[in-house]
Amino acid sequence: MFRHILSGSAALVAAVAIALPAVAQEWRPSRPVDLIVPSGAGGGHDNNARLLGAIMEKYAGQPINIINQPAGGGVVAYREMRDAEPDGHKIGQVSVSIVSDQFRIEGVDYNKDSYAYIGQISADQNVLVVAANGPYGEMDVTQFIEAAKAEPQAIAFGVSGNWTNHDYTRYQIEQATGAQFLRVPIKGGAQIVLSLLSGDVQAGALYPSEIKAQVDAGQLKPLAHNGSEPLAAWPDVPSFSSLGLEVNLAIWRALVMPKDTPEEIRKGWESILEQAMNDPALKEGYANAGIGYAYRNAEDTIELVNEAEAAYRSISEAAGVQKASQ
Amino acid sequence: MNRIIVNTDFLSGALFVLLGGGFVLISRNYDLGTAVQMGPGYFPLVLGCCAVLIGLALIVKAIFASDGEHAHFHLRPGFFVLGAMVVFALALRPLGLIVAAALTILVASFAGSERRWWEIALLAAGLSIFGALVFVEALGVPMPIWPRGL
Amino acid sequence: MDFVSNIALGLAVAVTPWNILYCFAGVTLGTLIGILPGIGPLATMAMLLPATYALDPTSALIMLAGIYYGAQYGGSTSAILLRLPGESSAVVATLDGYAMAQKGQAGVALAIAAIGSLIAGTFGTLVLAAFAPALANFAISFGAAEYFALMVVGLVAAIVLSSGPILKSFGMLILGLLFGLVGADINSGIDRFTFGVPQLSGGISFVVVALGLFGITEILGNLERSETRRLVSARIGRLLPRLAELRSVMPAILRGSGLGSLLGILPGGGVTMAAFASYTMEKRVAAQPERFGQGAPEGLAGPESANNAAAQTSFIPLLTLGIPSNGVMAMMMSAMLIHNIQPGPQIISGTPDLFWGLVVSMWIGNLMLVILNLPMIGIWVRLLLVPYRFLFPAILLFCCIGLYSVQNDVTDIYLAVICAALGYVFLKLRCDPVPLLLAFIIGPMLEENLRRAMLLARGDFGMLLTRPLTASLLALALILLVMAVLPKIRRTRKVAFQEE
Repeated sequence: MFRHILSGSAALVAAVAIALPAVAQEWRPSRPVDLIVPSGAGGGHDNNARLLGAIMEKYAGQPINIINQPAGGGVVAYREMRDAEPDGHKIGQVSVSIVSDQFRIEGVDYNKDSYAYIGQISADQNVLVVAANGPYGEMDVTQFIEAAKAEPQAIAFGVSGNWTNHDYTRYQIEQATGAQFLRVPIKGGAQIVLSLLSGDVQAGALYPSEIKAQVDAGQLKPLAHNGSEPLAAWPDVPSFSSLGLEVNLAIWRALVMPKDTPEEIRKGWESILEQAMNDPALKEGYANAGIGYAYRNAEDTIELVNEAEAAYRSISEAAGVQKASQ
Repeated sequence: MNRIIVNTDFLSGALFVLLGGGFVLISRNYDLGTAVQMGPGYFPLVLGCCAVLIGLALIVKAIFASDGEHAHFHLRPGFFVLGAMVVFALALRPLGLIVAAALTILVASFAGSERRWWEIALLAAGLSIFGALVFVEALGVPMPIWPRGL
Repeated sequence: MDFVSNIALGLAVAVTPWNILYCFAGVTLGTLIGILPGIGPLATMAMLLPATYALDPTSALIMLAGIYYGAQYGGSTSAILLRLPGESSAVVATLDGYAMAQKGQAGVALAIAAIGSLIAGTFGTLVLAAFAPALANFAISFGAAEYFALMVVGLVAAIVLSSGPILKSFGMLILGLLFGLVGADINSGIDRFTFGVPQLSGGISFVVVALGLFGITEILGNLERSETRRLVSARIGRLLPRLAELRSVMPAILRGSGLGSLLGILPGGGVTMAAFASYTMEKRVAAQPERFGQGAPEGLAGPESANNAAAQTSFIPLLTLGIPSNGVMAMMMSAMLIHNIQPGPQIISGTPDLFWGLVVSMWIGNLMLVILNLPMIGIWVRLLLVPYRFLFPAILLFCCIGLYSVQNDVTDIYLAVICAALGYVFLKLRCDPVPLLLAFIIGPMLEENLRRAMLLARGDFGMLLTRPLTASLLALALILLVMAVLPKIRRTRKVAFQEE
């Protein structure tokens, strides 16, 4: 029932869009589209897809169904995107794990070349945080690193699992500074925040959206981040690069489709995405939800993907990442 | 001897030994670690051994106890009910919900003791349409309704 | 004074025609998806989320919250009537609730669950309104060591809950813990016991085990009995409880409300523990604990109340700390963020109308659920009169659809087939599946928190005992265990002596 109201309103919007003079005869989907998301409902990935999907419906002229496939930490979803019918009615949202999975999970049979790209849809950063009322709450990033170096393994560092983004950032901090943390795996960013507040762990590297409430309330203190641009939420927090430290792994999301999709269909989606990414409603939604806005067209996205693969390859080899069996 | 085999304590004991032993065997592939840094194999190994011990205790108890309940297995309902689920799983992606649901109901109906064909036909039609309307249309479960390519 | 004016503000927000309508839509939809097996509130909320972009944020949250506690409510209905626990919180309702339905007291059971839920919901709402900021500190006083101890209490509760012989209960408990280990190990990242199936690396989902071991096994057990015997067990009986019955379960409801409100605050699995803990408590304080499992109304009323109270107070970590403690809360958080409302310490002062409106709407929603469902009880109970040859294919089909919807994948259906086969064997061997299911839920949290606690204590187990909260919880677990095991051993001995 709700769904019908939804698709009804989408159709109305589409009718309005069609009534406008068409610029060129571009490809558009002819029936509802499945957008596969490699995670469960709720959380950053899913939010991103639902926001973007709702806006893209306007320009695609068809309803976009979000299909959550959390199985295997995304492995199943990535395979499904690769093996889909290349007719433009099943597309996928991927994160940087699409290039890092092959270095950390045994038996992964996809890589950057398994897909055709539509474009980048968002970017994110990892922010090094400590509890404000904890033993390191008064320090800045340099003092914190000195403290960590002075007493190896004394600082418990919460990471959300083996060689996840949080963990790669921890590794990069250790490599760049010579500090050594006690690595404490904790399931999910929310639980890491909880462990920071309860004093179980003293530090973590988390997404801005995961820590915004606690930082604004003065419970957590951001020390530095791994992005290339200043943080939207806290522009005063220095980046590691500005301190001369190589802690800079890029974290992004993009839309993809099967490799052998006809170029005309792929171009159609590229233009749908471009229009959606330039929609003010999307920018506002991203800002509210704490999703880092970043858009690149397909060509630039491929460049981003290539860089990311090279970076994850070299760091995984340097760290001696052992592949987990699948 | 004959009686012990069907004794429920004996069989449960055997099942615990079997399952626990399986976990112990597989967990030997995983790193044990130490009590401080427990590896992925630590917990399953300890628990698997516990299961085996409890299973052995049950077997011993069954051998020495003079009484004990007997188990009777009816295979027909299990075969058709579980078979119906497998049919659903196999048929859903290629044939869509309507056909898969109808096939499931058909297979499941063999599990009961009585069948009337017109009842099954009505039930299959009614439930598959109800399923498509409620789950797919109203609640938005993303699954195909019609066979692929139709 | 403050409290009264806050509640008045909440009433002014929640009691507008539109917000009442959204609340009604939420609880109705929630009840529906709660009754259907496998379809959880999470997927439904996710689907409705884009529709809420256009709504006023308070209305959106009122509706989404309604789906959540409506689903909890509906989950108990199918657990009582059909032994289909759709949510981990409804598992306990399959014990005495289902037993009552089998004795022809389905209507009474549903009514007691409804009334208990309303009282508990009221209690939980009051706790939320009065103490939310103060309780935030309680939520963060639990570290890994404390959670580990809490999970140990939970395991002991699983033994207490079981009605079978002690040795088999322990065996099933261990099996449950082992099944819970399947999937990626968070510490090392390696997959355990997945046999190369990627769908297993996230672990076996609760719905698979619950539907396989309970719902579908129940179908297999029922099909063996002849239709006439089933009809006897499906007498309708009275629909509503007598006043004396209500009075006798009232202490259980109140105890459950208190316990549930407290546990619900803990973000690391507190809500799950609420119903188990309450059942254990009721069985402990009961004059005749042997009635439990045979359809004791307190065994239904207590946990159902605990459940609902915990569902209310589980909003506290989100609203006061900005920490979503589960998927549903993450969804609520998304809905707030979309409207540029940051849940967290400032939400009460920053957007008082939203906070108090939401709090009051929860109470209104609970009231609506009871008004909505009391007249429905007659209809639900009549479901049991449907000839079983029509009923079981329908349950089976809905289970299959629900199983598919968990990950949008058919693998879970195959896994449920295996669980159901195993469940049938357990049924035949008189192995109670309840300890297995509880241990399956608790197991992963137990292992994760123990390993983390040991890591943080640098391997010094004694250090865990120096934490007062951890030590007292572990002591409680020990006392409960001794109290649960001793009478059973004594009873077995007595039987053994009689035989000689």
